[in-house]
Amino acid sequence: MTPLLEIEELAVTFARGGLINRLLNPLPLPSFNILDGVTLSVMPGETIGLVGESGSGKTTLARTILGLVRAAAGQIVFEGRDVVTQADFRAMRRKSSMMFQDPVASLSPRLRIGTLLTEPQIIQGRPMPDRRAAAKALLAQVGLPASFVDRFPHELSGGQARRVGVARALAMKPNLLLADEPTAGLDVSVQGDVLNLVGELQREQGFAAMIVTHNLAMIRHVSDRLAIMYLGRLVETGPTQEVFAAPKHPYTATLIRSEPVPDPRQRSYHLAVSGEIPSVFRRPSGCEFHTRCPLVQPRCRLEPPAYRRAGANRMVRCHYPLETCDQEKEDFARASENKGN
Amino acid sequence: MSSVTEAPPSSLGRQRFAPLRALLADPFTGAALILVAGFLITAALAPWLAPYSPTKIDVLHKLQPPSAEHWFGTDHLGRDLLSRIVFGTRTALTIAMVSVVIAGAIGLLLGLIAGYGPRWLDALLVLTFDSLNSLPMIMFALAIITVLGAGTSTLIIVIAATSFPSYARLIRAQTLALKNSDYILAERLLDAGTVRIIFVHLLPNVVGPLIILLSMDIPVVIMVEAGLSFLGLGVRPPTPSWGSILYDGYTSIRSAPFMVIFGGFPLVLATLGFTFLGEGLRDYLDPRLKLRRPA
Amino acid sequence: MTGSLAARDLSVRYETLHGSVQALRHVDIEAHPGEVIGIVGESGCGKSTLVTALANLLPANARVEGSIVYHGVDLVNLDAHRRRLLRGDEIALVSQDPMTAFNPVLTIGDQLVDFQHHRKDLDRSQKKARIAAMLTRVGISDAEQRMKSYPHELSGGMRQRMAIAAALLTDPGLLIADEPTTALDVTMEAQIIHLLRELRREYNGIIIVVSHHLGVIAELCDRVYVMYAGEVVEGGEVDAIFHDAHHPYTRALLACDPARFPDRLERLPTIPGTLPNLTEPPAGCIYASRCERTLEPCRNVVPPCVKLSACHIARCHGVCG
Repeated sequence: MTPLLEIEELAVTFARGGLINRLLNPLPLPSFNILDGVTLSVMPGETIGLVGESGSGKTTLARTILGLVRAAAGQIVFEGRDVVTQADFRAMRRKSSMMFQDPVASLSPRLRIGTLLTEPQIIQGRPMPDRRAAAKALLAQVGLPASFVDRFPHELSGGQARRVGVARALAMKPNLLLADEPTAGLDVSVQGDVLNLVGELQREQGFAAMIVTHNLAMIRHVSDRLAIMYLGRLVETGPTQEVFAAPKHPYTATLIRSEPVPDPRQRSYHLAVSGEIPSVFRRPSGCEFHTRCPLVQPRCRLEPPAYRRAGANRMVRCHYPLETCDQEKEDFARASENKGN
Repeated sequence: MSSVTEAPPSSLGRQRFAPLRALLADPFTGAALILVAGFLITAALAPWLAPYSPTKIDVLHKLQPPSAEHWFGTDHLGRDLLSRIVFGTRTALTIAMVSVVIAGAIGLLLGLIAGYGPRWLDALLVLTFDSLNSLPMIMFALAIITVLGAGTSTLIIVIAATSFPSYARLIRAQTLALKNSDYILAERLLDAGTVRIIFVHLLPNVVGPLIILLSMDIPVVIMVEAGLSFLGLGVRPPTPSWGSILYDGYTSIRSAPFMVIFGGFPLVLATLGFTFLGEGLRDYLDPRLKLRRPA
Repeated sequence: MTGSLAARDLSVRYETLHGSVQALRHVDIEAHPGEVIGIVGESGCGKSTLVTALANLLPANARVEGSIVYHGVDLVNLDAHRRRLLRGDEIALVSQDPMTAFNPVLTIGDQLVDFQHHRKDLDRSQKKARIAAMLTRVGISDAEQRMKSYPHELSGGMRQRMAIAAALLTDPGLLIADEPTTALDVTMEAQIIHLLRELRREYNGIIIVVSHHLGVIAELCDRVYVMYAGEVVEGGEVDAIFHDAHHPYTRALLACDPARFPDRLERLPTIPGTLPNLTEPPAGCIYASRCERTLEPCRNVVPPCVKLSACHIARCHGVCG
């Protein structure tokens, strides 16, 4: 099967300093990689979870894929065609859609829900004899009452606004859905609702989904594959269950171990990771995780690791990938003991 | 499929009239609304309200103090002052509102283009706004009048041309703040055209502060019109205007002080009315003050 | 100074244009020195109102009934001056977004000096020494340098450490942490949890942690109160709440947390229905409209507070003591 979307060595750079600075400085100003060497593919119908902490570049990646941010290098291939020009992106955007992090803010505030829901079809010039009926059908699809067509975005609760976001994103029957933190700010009793809805529609319509999130507990249940980002680079990809069971990259392992467990009998008293995420403006040398890695070796400080295959369907960017689940636990225990002493 | 139950029927029906009621809740705004409505009615019904023709000269009864026949007295040509003030309202409001609406429309359009358009266009437009803003208004008015001649339409052009840059700057700043908001990005992802984004999605969200500013600028424009007419650069005689009444009154202030008093009175009232209305609108439209909405 | 805290039959109403919102109804909680109390609930459950009531920061349109007794003093009926004194020295609040806790135009060090204004016995250099010691204690390595920086120059995790340091500088008897890790990334969250856990060893006042995150509550607290729509529906030792919950809401809330299931679920569990309208709360049990096992009296009779063990209570008709 050919992938729906292929990203190859994608990079996004950001030059610091404005026009005047550039004119005054004879030397070219240093530029900073927000994304660097991102290679990832999405199969039709699959759900991929893009996981990282704030500043890891996960939202930038989603926006670059859709052409809202310009890539400095690399390649995007959608349905077997290179996406290069603005026209290519436009063609691609007709077959993909995005759900934003803040559902209310992504709806034009002065328009009614009915207008907002049918706008995609109007823009793309699809014939629509009865806009209200079409809007009501879309509302019914996401389980909202028909009377919502006359509401304004600010009159909706967080969960309701998400449902409208889902309806709007799926109105054009896309092949790819990009969801940026689809559960941010939602209560646990409501977040399941939204994800179940997306899952149901995905089974019905067969689109592929890329879910950008930092919520590990949630992504574990809704994704087929995981891609872990750190400082604008992918550090690990693999099938979700395998990654959770036996992470290969120490960063993935620390992320999983840092998640607080909702069980007082399983309190973890060892801190999995210390220190903070470095800034992309001051990337560490060698492996970028070496400043926080509990298993750091001298080589890690000097030599950047390659992004390489580590078993079937798995990729990792580490000199010393963790071998098994047990080894990971032992190594971590030893590392934290050494630190404690 | 799970579904969301409808929220209990809120007071949606009552909310239809809520804006007006909320606006009238403040006594100053209520008084201002009544005052402004009064001026508008006076201007519209001037021919029926005025007891005499504003231009009928009666030299025999010149500079007469207020009497039962002439409530506000007569001017140096014996014209009825009340009638002149009533018709002057028409002149003042027409000039003020037409020029403010024209300036507002130009400012809105150019501001949106500057804010949402490409950077070079923004730079060019901002330069234009600033150059126009830096011209002294009286000098500019004199230049335009020498070319076009004094008159109502010249006055409107002068006022519109000198006031639109500040409106455009306001709209530009608002647009820049919204340009990268989520919903504009969402529209761009849907491939909404630039025209659609500007007029359907940006305009309704930036126009609020402009309406307030325009309302508060109407008295300023009335003053400018009066000032220019006072200098003889505005409305040409015999058309009645509050400025020319003041000018005429000024020349005979010793013999007939009532002319200046009655001529200046509506100017003060109009200024108060439109200013308080603008402030009321601002308080009402400012989202930070929208505490009425339940969370 | 340390002492116990007890809220008895505490109710808070907000008078709004749309009627009076009964944000908190008949809440009973207590906390003793040395305890970490968790308050958990979803949005709209009244936990923020409870926090602001405890911290004496309710807005002007709030009407309070009942009592909050702290160290033998009823906070509800305190005059403004003594209330302010108490708020400054005795009760400290760490909020969700530490950015708003600091003034953006002053350095952290200057602000931390100001926080100690009640310590008239110390001069500026002594105050600075206290700050440096406190910053080191909350895990900030280069304390002297950090005191010279402005709030925006610090990362979210660093600011939260600063906010905790600021709260502890006043030697409070009651430390309230309102969603202390919600704005942070998971690795920073783990570090702040670790820090709070370490601090409690040397600190002998009361710590109240408010969160919607069950994991944070489970990691940190000794006793937990579960809130729903303005009421405490269940309270007890953390182990009892997480392993022997009796109230249907607590059970449903626990069942919804995807972190409790290691294997992939096809459908994530949810709680159907919506929160009741708090301007006209239902006559019977507040949770009746969403409960999966409603009994005869649930819709009309307010459920009793059933005592299940020494400190485990549940407000439900379906529970026997």
